[in-house]
Amino acid sequence: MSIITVSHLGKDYRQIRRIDGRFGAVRTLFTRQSMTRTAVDDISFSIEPGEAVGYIGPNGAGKSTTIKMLTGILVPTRGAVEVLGVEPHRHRRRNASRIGVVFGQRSQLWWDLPVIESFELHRHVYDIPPERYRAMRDRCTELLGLGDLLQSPVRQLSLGQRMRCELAMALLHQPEILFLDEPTIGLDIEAKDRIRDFLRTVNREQGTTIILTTHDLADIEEICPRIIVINRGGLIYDGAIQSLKAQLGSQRQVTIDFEDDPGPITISQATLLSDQGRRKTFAVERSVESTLAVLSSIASSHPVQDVSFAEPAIEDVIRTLYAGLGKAVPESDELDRWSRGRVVTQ
Amino acid sequence: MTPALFWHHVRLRLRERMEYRGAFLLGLLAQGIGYAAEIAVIWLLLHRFEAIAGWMWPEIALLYSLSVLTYAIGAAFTYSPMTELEQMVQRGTLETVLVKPTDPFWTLIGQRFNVGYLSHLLLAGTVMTWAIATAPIDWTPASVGLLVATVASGSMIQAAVLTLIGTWAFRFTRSWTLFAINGQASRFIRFPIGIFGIIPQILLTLVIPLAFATYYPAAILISEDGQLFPGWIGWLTPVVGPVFMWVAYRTWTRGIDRYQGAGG
Ligand SMILES: Nc1ncnc2c1ncn2[C@@H]1O[C@H](COP(=O)(O)OP(=O)(O)O)[C@@H](O)[C@H]1O
Ligand SMILES: [Mg+2]
Repeated sequence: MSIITVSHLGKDYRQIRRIDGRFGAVRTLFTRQSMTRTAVDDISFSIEPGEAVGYIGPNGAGKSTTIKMLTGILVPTRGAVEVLGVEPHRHRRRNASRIGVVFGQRSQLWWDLPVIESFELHRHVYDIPPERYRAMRDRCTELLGLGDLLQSPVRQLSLGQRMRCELAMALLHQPEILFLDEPTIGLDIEAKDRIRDFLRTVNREQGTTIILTTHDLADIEEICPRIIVINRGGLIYDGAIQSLKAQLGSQRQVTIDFEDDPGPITISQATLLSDQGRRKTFAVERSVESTLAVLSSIASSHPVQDVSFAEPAIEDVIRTLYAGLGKAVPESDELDRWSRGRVVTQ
Repeated sequence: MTPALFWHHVRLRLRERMEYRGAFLLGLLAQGIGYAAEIAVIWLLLHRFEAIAGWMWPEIALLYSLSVLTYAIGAAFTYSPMTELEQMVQRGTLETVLVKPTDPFWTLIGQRFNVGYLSHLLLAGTVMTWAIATAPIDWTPASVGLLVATVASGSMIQAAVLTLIGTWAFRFTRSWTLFAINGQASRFIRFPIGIFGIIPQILLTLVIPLAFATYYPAAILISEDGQLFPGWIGWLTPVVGPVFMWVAYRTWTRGIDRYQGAGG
C-alpha cells in the first residue's frame, strides 16, 4: 500500500493583477484582471512507507508547490493526491497530526523564546503523551547535539542551530511522513552534514517516510536512494539515484589553486578542463582513490593553496536527462515570462 | 482548539513581549497619553456646551468608555493577526499555521494576541467606573446584565469588524487604508448617534453594527429615546456580537479556503 499517491497532479496559480498608481487599489478591485500560471503539470508518482525520496529541480520548477499540495496547504487544480489514505486538503487538520513539515526558509519556532517553549507548545498542539514526548525530545536532542540550545532564545541561534531545532520539533509527534522543503538551504557544510546524518538515522531507525526537496544534489546522494526530478512543473525522471549517476558519467571536477602558477601540468588520470594560471580545473574519476592519487601527485611537485570539488549541479542533471530523452532543454527565459499564462478579464 | 491550548499560545506571546519590556511600557504610556488627551478635549467641549444631543458629560463618558473598552478587548484578539495577515501570506508564514492540526483562526489569534491595549483598558475602565457612578442609571438586574453583556458582545463586534477587514485586505488589496478608515469609523460610536445623519445611523446599525457596542445599550441604560431605530433594539446587543463574530469567523475561514484554492 502506497503512503502517497499522486496522479496527473496539476496546479495553476491565479494572480489578480494589481494596478499601480492612482486609485490602484480600487481599480484592482473592480477590473479583476487575473493571470493563470501553471506551476505543476501532470505529475504522477507513488511512494511506499519508509522510503526516502529526493524531489529535485531548479528554482521555480514547482517543488514547493507540490509539497504544499501534499501537505494540504494548497488545493490541486487538476489530478489527485492521496496521503495516508486521504485527500490532504479535504482533511488538512487530521492529516497534519500525522505528518511533519519543515520549511527551510520559515521558522516555526517562537523567535524570542527559548526553544524548549516551542517544543512544549508543540506537545500540547499535537497532544503528545508526556512519556512519548520526553523520549522523542531526548532522542532528537542527542542525535542532533542540541544540548544547551534548547534553553537559548531562538533569535540567538545560528541558522544551522535553528534548523536542527526545527527538525527536532517536526519529529516530536512521531509523524509517519516528514516533508522537508529545502532544509539545507543557506547552511554550511558541517550543518548540512549533521542534518543529513540525522535524517538518514530517522529514516532507518523509525521508518519515517521522508520527502525532501532541494536543488543540492549532495543532499539527495546521502539521504535518498530514490529521486524524482522535475523541471518547469513536469516530471522528467523518477528512479534510483544510482542509475542517474551512471547517466551523469563517472567524473567529477577538481579545482586547484596553486601558490604560484605551476605552468602546464600533465597527469595521466586527470584531464585539464580549464587553465587560468594559478587556478586549474581537472576532470578526474569519481572514486576516492583516484582523486587522492591525482591530488597527491600534484601536491608533491607544486605547492597547493586550496582545493575544491564540484559535483554536477542540478542544471547538469537536467541537461543530461533531456539529452537522454532526445529533447532540447527548454529556453530558460521562457520560464520567466508569463508564457503559459493567459489574461482573463472577468 | 481548547481554551487551555489557546491560553498557552497567549502566554507565550506575553512572555515574548516581556522580552522587550522597555519598548512595551513606553508604547503603553504613549497610547495612554493619547487617549487621555482625547478625553480632555471632549470634557472641555462639554464644559462649553453642557450637552451633546441632550447627552450630559457622564453619559458621554459612558459611551466613550464603552467604545474604548470594547475596542481594546476586541483588538487585543484580532488586530495584530488581521493587520499582519497579508504580510504572512507574502512571507509564507501563513503556511506554517496551515500545517498544524489546530484551527488556523484561533491559532493565529493566540499567537498574535496583543497586550498593547492594556492602557486603553485601564483608561476606559477608570472612565467607565466614574460614569456609571455618576450617570442617572436605574440599576436593576436587567440593566446590570445588559452592561456586562454589552462589554462582552461589543468586544466581539469590534473583533469581528477587524476580522472582516482583514479578510478583505488579504483577498483583494494591500490596503492599510481600510484599517485606518475603521479607526476613524469607530470614533463615530463614541458620540450619540442622533447627531449624525440617517446614512451613518443605518450603516452603524445594519451594515457594521458597531452602534450595538455602545450607543444602543447605553441609550437604554440612561433611558434615552430611540432615534432612527427604536430604543429597544439595544436589547439585541447580546445576540448581535456572537452572531456577527460567527459571520466574521466563517468569512475569514472561507477566505483561507480560497487562498488554498488559488495560491497566495
Ligand atoms: N503564490 C504564487 N502565485 C503565483 N505564482 C507562483 C506562486 N508561487 C509560486 N509561483 C510560481 O510557480 C512556479 C513554481 O514555484 P515553486 O513551486 O515555488 O518552485 P520551486 O519550489 O521548485 O522553486 C514558479 O514559476 C513560481 O514563480
Ligand atoms: Mg521552493
